[in-house]
Amino acid sequence: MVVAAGAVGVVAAGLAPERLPEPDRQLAFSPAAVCFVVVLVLACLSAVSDRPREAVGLSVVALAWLLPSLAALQVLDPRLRAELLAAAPLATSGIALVLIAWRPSQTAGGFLLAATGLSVAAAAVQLMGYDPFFDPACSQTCEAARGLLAPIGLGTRQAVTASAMLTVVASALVVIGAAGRGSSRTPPGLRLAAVVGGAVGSAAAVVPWWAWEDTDRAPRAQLLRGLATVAVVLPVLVAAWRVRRVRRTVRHVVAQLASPTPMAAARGSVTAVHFAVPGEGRWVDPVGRPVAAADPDLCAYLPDGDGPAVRFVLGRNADPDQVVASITAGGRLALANSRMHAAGLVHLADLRASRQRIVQATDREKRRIERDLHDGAQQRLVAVIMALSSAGRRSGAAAGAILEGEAQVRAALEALRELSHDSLTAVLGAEGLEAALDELAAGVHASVDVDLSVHPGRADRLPAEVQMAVYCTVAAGLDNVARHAKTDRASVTVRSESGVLTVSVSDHGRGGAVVGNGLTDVADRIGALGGRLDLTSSPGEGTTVTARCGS
Amino acid sequence: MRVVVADDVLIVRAGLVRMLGDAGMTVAGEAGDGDALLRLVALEQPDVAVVDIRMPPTHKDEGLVAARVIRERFPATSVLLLSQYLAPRYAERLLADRPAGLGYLLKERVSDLSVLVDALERVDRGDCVVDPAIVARLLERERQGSPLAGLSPRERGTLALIAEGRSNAAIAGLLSISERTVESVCAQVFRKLGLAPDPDVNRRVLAVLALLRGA
Repeated sequence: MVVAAGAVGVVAAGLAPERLPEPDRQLAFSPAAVCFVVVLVLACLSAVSDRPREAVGLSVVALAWLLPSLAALQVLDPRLRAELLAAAPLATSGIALVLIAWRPSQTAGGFLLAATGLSVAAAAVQLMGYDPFFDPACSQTCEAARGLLAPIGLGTRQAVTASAMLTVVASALVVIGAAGRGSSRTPPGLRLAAVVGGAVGSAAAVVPWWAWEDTDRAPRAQLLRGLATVAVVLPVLVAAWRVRRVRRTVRHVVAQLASPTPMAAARGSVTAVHFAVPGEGRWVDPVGRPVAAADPDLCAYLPDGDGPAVRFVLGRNADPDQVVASITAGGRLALANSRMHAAGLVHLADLRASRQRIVQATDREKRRIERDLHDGAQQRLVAVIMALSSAGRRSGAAAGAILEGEAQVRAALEALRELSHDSLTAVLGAEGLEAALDELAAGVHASVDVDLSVHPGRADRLPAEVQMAVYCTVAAGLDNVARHAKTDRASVTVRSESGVLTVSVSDHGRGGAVVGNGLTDVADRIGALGGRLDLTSSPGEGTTVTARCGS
Repeated sequence: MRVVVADDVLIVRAGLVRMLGDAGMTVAGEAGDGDALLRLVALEQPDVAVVDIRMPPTHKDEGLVAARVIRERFPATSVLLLSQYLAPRYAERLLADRPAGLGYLLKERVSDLSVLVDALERVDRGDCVVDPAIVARLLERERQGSPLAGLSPRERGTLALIAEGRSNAAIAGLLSISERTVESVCAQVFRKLGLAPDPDVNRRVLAVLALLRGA
């Protein structure tokens, strides 16, 4: 809105002199134009308030256009009115200052500084050399003014010519500074505008010389200056608007990090925020999940003492420097918090994975031992029993001793079978979870109701470690029933609801159970799956062991 | 009686072969895995195959799978399965569809020559033999609402002995009752399990099946 109003105002002000009454037309004063310029200057200043050098540049451009217009005000002192006219060349230095605010390279900066100096010199020459008595355009206004350079032989016409030439050279330097490679950080629109503004500004400087003693041509200088102002001010406002938009996006993104679903949707110029895990080279998202590598050209990095800490993945056309500059101190604090949170989640996941690996390694080892027992010791003992039995039948005298030996070996085999059965895996591996639970239930003396409310056939499709955890929970629960509960009834329930698997073993025995070795192992196993184990056991009210984990 | 033996552990296989020889049986061949066993049975057409449940390559239930194929393709060959585990599920899965001519014994049981010979003869006759330890486990496991729950202790003991493949005369001897009493107890068991007299079915086998299924 402000931008549009300013633009219309400047164009209208530039065109207006043609319709003004004769005396004022010569110097193109228009109250409307002044109002528009004031609005425009205010808009610019508010838009770029955090970029003081740019704001100064824009103000200079606007003043260089505004002040000569005020020379038409007859209430002012004639000398002052003459001096106001000399402000025109400063427009070029304003453009240069705006460009310098975008931090160009040293070479380009040198050109722009030189342009600033030259245009200030042009203004000074015009200020000092201006002789209103010889200026037809000023014949009614400037009687008392005399050029200070007259004593050294530089007349009014020569001063105007010198000022125009200096302005043209300064404008050329601005064009070189803006168009050269050294200003690659400057938005392209602004660079183009500076080139146009410089060209139009130098044309405006030439007008007084070209329109010497021609009252019809003189006001065109003012029109050209108006155009130059528009050309420079508009892109600056657009750039400022974009800075604001980036700032708003960054603020929104940072605020969203604290929500339960951080960065659920990509937004504007920032599509994602990633954090570096402290002390590691890994990048993770706000909830600690690993992320794919990002194109460094499309990222803005926020460093801490050890290197990049936060990475903003940018949309097209977003400027990394702008994004980083838009993060407030509060925002940095929030980002540091989110990073710590993400790092905590990462470490939690790492720990959980390592616990799971330990449990898996233990299970693997148990299976190996069980297999070794079955294929090695047990088979050999069976063979020994057969051999002894065979020998016992043949040797009459020693038969008693051999039978005794056979019975001992049989007992050893029985003990081994108990051991390998305790190592859990045989039935679970071969027959599946349901069968294994039935086996467990059959193994205790109490009568056990097994309720497996997992979708038929799904129980065996649960991940192996989840099946194992269910099995171990039920085994530990029933073991507790058998040892302590002093009851003849117990129930086992396995349910899977909306991705959560609940296993519970309960009895109505004497209660008062505490978490002992068996249950601690099970709790570790469930914990490794990200779940938890609860034990409720009040004396006289029975015991319930409940495990919950994701399935 | 012609018998083939399948077990991947050489010393056990050798022990079995020697024991079968002691019992006067003809060992027609030996195999170390399921595929070799099937080839051997196709070639030799033995009366009974003695098969270890766990064999290469996975050491899970190759013996069970082979036993099923044998019962389907070579009905004249009965199968006696040997297992290291006390797992009723194995027995249940195997015996559920065609229990006749099948047996399931724990491995160390076979070192008792009389048990081995007895089991071989019975499966050869078309009976169903289940290891006493497994029968005991099955009876423990019975669920609420199952007809098994309605059996009296004596009926239960009788059913267990039937499942072990004993004849009425043997049961009478073991329980110290007359054979007539055993017959009437058996009739009670069949009635409670809902097995009507039918000349086409072997009610003893069906009773074992009911026990295996827990219903």
